[in-house]
Amino acid sequence: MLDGIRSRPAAQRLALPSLPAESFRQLTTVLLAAVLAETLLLRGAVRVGVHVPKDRAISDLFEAASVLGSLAFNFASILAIVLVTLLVGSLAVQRKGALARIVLVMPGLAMLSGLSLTLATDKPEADALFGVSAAILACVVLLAAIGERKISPMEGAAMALILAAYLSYQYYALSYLFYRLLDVAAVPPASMSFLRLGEVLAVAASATAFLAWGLPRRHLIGPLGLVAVAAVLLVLTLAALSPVSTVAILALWTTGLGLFLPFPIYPVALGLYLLTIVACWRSRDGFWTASGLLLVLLAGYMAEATYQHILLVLALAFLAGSFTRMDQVAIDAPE
Amino acid sequence: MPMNAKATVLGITALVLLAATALTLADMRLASSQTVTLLAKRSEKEIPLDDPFDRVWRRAGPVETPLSAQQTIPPKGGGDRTVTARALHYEDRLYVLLEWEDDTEDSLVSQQTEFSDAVAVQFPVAPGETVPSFCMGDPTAPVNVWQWKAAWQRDMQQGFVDVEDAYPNMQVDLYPFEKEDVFYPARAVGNVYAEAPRQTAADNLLAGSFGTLTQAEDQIVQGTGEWRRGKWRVVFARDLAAGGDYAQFAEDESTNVAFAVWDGSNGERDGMKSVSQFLTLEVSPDVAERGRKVTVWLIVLVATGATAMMLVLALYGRHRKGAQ
Repeated sequence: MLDGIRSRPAAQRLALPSLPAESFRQLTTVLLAAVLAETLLLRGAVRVGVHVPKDRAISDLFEAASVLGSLAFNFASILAIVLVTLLVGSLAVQRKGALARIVLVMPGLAMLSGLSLTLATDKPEADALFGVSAAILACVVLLAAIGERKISPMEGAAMALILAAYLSYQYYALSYLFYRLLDVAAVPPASMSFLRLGEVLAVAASATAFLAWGLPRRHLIGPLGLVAVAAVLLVLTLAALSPVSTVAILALWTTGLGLFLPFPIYPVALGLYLLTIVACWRSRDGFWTASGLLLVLLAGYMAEATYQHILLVLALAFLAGSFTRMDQVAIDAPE
Repeated sequence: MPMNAKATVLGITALVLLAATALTLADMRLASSQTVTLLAKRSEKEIPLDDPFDRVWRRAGPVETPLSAQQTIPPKGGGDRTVTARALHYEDRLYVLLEWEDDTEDSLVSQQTEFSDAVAVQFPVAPGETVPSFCMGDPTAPVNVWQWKAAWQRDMQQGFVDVEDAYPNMQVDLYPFEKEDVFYPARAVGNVYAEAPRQTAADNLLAGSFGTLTQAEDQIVQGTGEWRRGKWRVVFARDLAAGGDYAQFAEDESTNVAFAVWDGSNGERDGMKSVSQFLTLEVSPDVAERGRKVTVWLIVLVATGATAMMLVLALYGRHRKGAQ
């Protein structure tokens, strides 16, 4: 991808007036590293490690992991906010019509306003503004990209399933929030069904993602990729079979899955999903898809913090090709 | 890539790192919780502890929460269930009502193959940035657990169920020392499971990880349950503020809350249970009133949404027509 970049400033800077496309890729790589570190150190190791009997030295290690995890969390959270702000700006610049710009920018601005308010206050109105605008922005980002780009039906289905899973969880969380704001003392209709449906959709999205992006690039997985994915699955399966299992903690704290479906479905879905990420990562044109899929996984199904919502919006933008177009602009730029 | 672009990336990364370090040193995390909130409003009507089906609970907003099987530590168990939680406060006491479906009322544990239906509520002892593990807390972040058992309530209401009750046709020539403490060693050493007569059906417990659940010194939690037509309802009550290292509550403050349910007829006891993740519990100064009719609001919402959608589509169509 780098080979195609020309030094024509107008082309390079078309999407983001002050940031070339390659810079965006580099910032995204930094974000992925930070989110991965946060997931492993804060949500993973600390939550699991707290239950492992340990002496002073190991205890200090876990303390260090917790501090580093918090640092990675804050770093990833700030960088994700920066990137989503740039995303909204770039999408607005790419649109031609004023109305299209408004439709894209409005939910973005609303989400950022909601984020500021919800970080500064505990008001449920701020949570509602953030939650609704994040859901609308996710839809708009995906619809805008699908409307402009030629994508295969399977790619469309995978993205739609990821979005539908997110919206299912959002229905559960936001319906309670709106009932609270409207002072309705009742359980929102079908809220639990939507929550369960979302988990099914998330699992189905993994298989569909493999068919959409992994299968066409299967030759790129390689023996190393296969071994790496097999090792992850082996660890998870052994953990599930062991008397003291950490799988439930990992599943609930890192991905928000309730594991109510038969257990073998989860490792199979995860295996296919990881193979897809490996294949895309190793492919010349799969950087944004791999990044998007990895962020979806790390954001988790139950987005219980603002940070996870932002990751998911970014992930959908990556998958929908909002950033691929910027690369394309740079590659196609004439000498 | 031009040098200035590299410098931009490095500059952004350095600035973000600086801000992240400052936040971490201040023990803050740049994120806001978006979990479902269980709101405990102020009740102007007395909340009867002996009637979990009282009409006062119609004023409390219910939250239906998913439970999943405890799969972390043996003995694993439980299953895919849901529990509906409500909360109110009245005259400086917090009331939490839990409701779940259970086909059988299991309140007799006189035989070794019988186990009691039960339910528990879990709060962090000290709410804050670090939420304890929902699996019985952390050594550095303990949890306060209130557990109600159907069998304990039966003991209180109908008397301790002894061997003679379980096996009415049994024959015994003589039990020496039957009237002395030494005859009941568990009771003599203060084992809570052997307590008779029982003072409360709800136990106040503390834990700081698996295997550390311990009965607290102060039994300050009350609880009453009632099984009606395949459904349990259990109400817990405790003062908002309590002396000791227990969860504390106050108006306008929030904490976390998680739930666990045991189905006795499914052989569930101890770690064999269905558990939820943490939700947010907010003690609100607002008065709990009869909730508005949901249908009216749904109609208003749908109508507003549809109008907004039609407006956007009309504007878009007009815009496209103009562009052509």
